[in-house]
Amino acid sequence: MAEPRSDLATATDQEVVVLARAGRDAAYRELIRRYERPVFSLIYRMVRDRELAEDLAQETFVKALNAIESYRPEFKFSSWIFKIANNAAIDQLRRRELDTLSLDGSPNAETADAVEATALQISDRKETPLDELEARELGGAIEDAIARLRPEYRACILLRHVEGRPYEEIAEMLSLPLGTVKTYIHRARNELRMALEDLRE
Amino acid sequence: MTSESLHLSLDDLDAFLEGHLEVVKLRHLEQCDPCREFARAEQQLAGRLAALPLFDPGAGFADRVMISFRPALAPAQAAPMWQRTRDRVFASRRSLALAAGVALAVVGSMGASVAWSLSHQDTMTAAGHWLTSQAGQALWVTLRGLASNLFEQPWYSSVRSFIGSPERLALVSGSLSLAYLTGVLTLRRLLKAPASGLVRANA
Repeated sequence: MAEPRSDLATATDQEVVVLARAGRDAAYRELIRRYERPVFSLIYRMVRDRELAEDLAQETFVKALNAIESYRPEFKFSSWIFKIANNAAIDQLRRRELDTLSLDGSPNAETADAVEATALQISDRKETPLDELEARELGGAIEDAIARLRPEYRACILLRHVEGRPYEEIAEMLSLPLGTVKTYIHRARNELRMALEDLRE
Repeated sequence: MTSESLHLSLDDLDAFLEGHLEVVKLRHLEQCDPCREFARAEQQLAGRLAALPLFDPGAGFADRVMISFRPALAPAQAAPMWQRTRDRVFASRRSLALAAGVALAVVGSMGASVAWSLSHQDTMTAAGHWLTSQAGQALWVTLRGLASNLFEQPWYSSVRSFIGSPERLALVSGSLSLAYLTGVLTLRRLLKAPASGLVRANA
């Protein structure tokens, strides 16, 4: 029988995980309900493509729920799922970085005309309703400034100031030394501040 | 009080943002314009970041996750093939779009093929006759070739005399059938997937 929703809603993550491990569908759904928005938002701000972010968020949950037996309750569930989400986003950005090489035109093109002819004309792409939605959602000055940060800085600043995670947890999530995380966050804040000041001027 | 050694460090700034800066540093902050200005800017930025909204994934996200997510089901509980295929198709918008595209291409090409055939019935009939006659001729030539080749073999007359009686013919046929059956069973056993001992990649 499914666990009553009120019980699940007040249970800690660890308690919900225990119920999920026992095979309760409602417990799996509760974990999704708790983390779908923060996980999706983190990935969306990392990759800036709504459809792709949905796929990656889905992949994150499927991976986490399938491996729930290997989750160690001494760690926060949130750290665990954010770690999976961040890895998915970073992997995607690395793949995209390789793909963008083709935007500059064929590497075999020998003349400027050939380079131009083989380059992908991004501006020719027709804007879809989804693109418009993305532009509305991520169109603010601060969102633009976040998008211009290096992916590592972006992940750190989002986890610290949007998700409100402590430094130690971020270091654990991203498998980085604590000092590195602090440095990344301070640099990211500096870059954001400068970008926003430039805009004001 | 406002000496450089007391200027806020990055750790102090974090403490300030979290609201637990030491009293002595707070006093410095009140008197040091650059530090106050910097702390104010950092506070403003942190506030803007914290106020960023969370986004909702598309409707039915949890359902899509639950469909894609398969807890380690026992083989007896595993969904049948058609159900797994359906789940894979509906797992994401991308897979659904891909499946719809493939279905459209298949149905479209079938429809075009039927339409063309109906409008070119004479051509189809002529092509059918030609193909049938060509296939018949090829088959006849092959059979004749094989038969004449067989008759010319030096061992043909001795084999023919050996299987001349019905008992011996039955014995040879039975032995060949048995050998064939044994071969098929051995192959099936060799090709069967192991039931256990597989390690899950993401375990």
